[in-house]
Order: sequence, then structure tokens, then C-alpha cells
Amino acid sequence: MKQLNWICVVLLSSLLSVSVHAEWAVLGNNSVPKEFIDTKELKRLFFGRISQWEGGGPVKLCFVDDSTALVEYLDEKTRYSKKRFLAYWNSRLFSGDYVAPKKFKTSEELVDYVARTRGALCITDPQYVPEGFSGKVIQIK
Amino acid sequence: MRKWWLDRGVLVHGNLVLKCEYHADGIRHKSHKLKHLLQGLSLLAVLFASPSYAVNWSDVTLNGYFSFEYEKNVSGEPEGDTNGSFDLDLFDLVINFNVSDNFRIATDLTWEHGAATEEDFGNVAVEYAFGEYTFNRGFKLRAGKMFTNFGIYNEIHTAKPATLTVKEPLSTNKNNKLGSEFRFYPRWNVGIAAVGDFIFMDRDFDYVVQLSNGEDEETNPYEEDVNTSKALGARVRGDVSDVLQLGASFYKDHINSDYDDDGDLLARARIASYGVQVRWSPYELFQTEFEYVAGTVKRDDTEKISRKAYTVMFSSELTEEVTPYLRIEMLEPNTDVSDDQGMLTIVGVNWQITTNAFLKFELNSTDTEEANAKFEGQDFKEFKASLSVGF
Repeated sequence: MKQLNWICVVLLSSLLSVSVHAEWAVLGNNSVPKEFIDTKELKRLFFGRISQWEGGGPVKLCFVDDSTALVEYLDEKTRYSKKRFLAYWNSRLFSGDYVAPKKFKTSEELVDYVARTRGALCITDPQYVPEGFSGKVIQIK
Repeated sequence: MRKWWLDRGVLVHGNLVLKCEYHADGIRHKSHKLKHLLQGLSLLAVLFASPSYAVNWSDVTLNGYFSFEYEKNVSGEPEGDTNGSFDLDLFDLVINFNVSDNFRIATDLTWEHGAATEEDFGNVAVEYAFGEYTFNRGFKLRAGKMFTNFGIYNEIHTAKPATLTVKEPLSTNKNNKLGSEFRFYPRWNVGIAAVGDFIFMDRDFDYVVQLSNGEDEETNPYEEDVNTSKALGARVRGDVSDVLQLGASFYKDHINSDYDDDGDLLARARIASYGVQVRWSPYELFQTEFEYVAGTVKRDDTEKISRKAYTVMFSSELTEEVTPYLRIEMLEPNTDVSDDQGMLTIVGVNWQITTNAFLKFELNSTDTEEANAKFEGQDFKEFKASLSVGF
């Protein structure tokens, strides 16, 4: 029985380790047709390579400008600095190619946006995700 | 069909009415100035008026950018800006109207060089305005005025917060400013385009194919085509690895190239241009980009001209804020003429002073050969600085 408990603890902690990283978490509106996203797909989403959700509806990206969550995500999963990432999106936005991710000043604003915006997918600091958040925390594989 | 019209000082758009007053002298202004006024008023109306069938503001995004520059010739022949001038380069509003989940209208409205229509100063323009319908991520259709999708820079040539340098490359993008008679491709076009993203061998690619009126200097090519031939352009880009992006573009058109004083056509010309582009980041904070463009111009009454150009740039993010860069440009306006080459070397630094706001300082060295049509062998150096902000 003790061994079973340990197995449960290990499984639970490994699940948590893939769902919320120490410095960043991915939140989605309840309309987002995903519970899990792998890192390659997440990059495609956050670089605008995937602009529509399966089944329709635009992907609406966002992050908190002053938070370290985006920087940590870029550092951990891509070869982009925040400066390059913003330059990339400046190019796509100002050329008319795509609508850029929405930037918020606070995590509260972001959480509120995700909860009420269809298709929203946002990166934020996990510690600011409130209990009872009405959207989803997307698991990262 | 929604249209603006002016009715005795009242600007009308469907149910939306904006009263405006203008001074009696204003009536005597040239018609294009009235157009500029209307353009400005239309924008203000869209932004601030309260229509009875309203735009839902959650479906609209408003962004833009600002650029202020200083240039001065610091040595060599008296070319470029010898006095040293400040330039309110541009203020642009970029607006996206998401009409539905699958349809958006995108526009970039620009006011360049402190536009003042009473004095006929500067430029007020629609950089682009198009509708885009999304069928799926791999296939979107656009219709309207667009940037010509060619190479790295044309679509962002005004978007200074998106580029490290003060100006876009002359040799591959603005080659008529470095010795060519015609550009490799026009800045803008009006027509239709298919665009999309796709995955091939687990790598991300995007493409665009544009069919348009092409360009003309006598009539407004964004309203009417002066000949039956349509311009065709295309580009494909792919992230072939995590550190390497490759791309290829082409553009071809059969333009009316020369008119007499009465506006009668004297000659037509076939323009064909091809380009390749490379972006390589061997290290996370070090980037290289390279673009090569070649092509031909064949006027009915002259021999075919072949031309080629390249741009190569190295940059490194020394810190989160400071990125020095080196760019080298070369243009060969006519490969059959031995001494018409133009070279431009730029050394500079891009300093991010706050999120999406950049100060840039650079030294531009222009070296041309004697038969170069623009500078005729006059070599000079210019200091350039700018403040560019995206929002």
C-alpha cells in the first residue's frame, strides 16, 4: 500500500511538471478544443503558424508584457529572445499578415481576457492563476 | 455597399453621420487635398464616432508605429543630406477589423514627413487595405491594396520598429535610389492574393501568390490597369531547421514604361525579378540575413538589361537592449556595363530603450562607380539616427 502511495505521488508530480512549468503556464478559453499541446504545436501557435483552431475560430494570443513568463517560455522552448519575438510579431502585424498577440499590463487582466474570449490562448505566470479560474490550464507535453 | 460621401459639410457613411466644417478658402483647394481631408476625417469618424450599427470594439485591434529620424552627410561628396535634417518620418495606424471568425479587413494608414496638405507637404497614404477570408490555415484569399510580397523587407519597409536599421536596404529593395532605372518590383499592388501556412516534412512553410494590375506612372494603378497584362508575384519561405529559414520570390510584369508629353505610350517593358533569402541564427543571440535579387528589364526599343543585387547583414544581441549590426549592400544596375556598381556599408547599433521603442545610430558609407546613374562615382558618408516606436 505504501508503494502504491509513492507511485501515486510520483505520477501526480510528473503530471504537474508537464502541465505547469515553474515559470510559465498556458491558459486557454473553454472554447479551445485542446487539453494537451505539445511544445512544437505551442510554438506554431505562438508564432502564428496556426491561426485557426480545429473546427474553426481564430486563435487569439496574449501575454503579460512585464511578466517573466514569456521570457522563460521563449528561453526554454525556442531560440528567440523577447526582443526578437516582438520584432517577429512587429513584422507580421505591420505587414498586415496577422493580428499580433495582445499584451496586458497585469495578470488579472489577462486571466479575465482568457476567461471571456473565445479562442484565447495565453502565457502567464502560474502563481497568478486564481483558484476557480473559469478557463483551462492547458497541459504541455 | 457602404460608401462615404460629403453632403454640404456632412460626412455620411450608412447610418453614421459626421458633421464637419471647413473654411471657405478650403473649397478652392485642389481636389486631391480634399481627398486627403476626407481620408483623415474618415479615419477620425471610424475611430471616434458612435454609429447606430456599431463596430464591436472587441473585434477591432488598433496598433501602429512612429518614426523620427536625423540624417547628415559627414564626409565625402555633397550627396545625401548636407545640412543635417530632422524628419518626422512617419506615423502609421494599423487597424484590423475582424468582421467574422473567418473574415478581416486590415489597413495601414500613414502620415509621412509631417504631412500638411495645405502646403502639399509630406504624404498621406493607404499603405494597404485589404479583405482577407480564411478558408483554413493553408488557404486564405485577399483582395485589395497590398504590399508586394517579395524578399525580406518590402512588406516592412515602413515598419521601423520591425527592423534593426534606420532604413531598408537600397540595393535589393529601393534599387532606383542606388542606380537602377526601375525597381525590381513595385512597393504596392492592387489585386488578389492567396496566402497560407503549411507543414512539409515537419517543417513550417508559408506562401503567397499575388495577381495584380502592376505599376504605372501615368494613371493610378490602384484604380485602373493601363494594359491587359497582369503582374504575377509569389514567394515561399520555410523554416528548414531551428536555425535556418530559406525563401524564394519572383515577380514579373509587362508595364507601360515610357510616355511622351501628351501621355501617349512610347514603349513597354517586360520586368522579371527573382530572389532568394536566408536567415541563419547559428547562435541564439547572433543572426545573419542574406538576400540576393536578380532580374531583367526588356524595353521594346532597347536591349535587355540584366541586373543583380545582394544584401548581407550580421547582428548580435550584446545585451537584452543593445544590438550592433553590420550591413553590406551591392547593386549591379546593368551587368553589361562594367563601372556602374553601387555599394553601401552600414555600421550601427540598435538600442531598445523600452518595450518596442528603439534608438538607432549608424554610419552609412556609399561608394559608387563612375557610370552609376544615381551617384556617378560620388562617394560619401552619412550619419543617421532614429527613434522608432511600435504600439
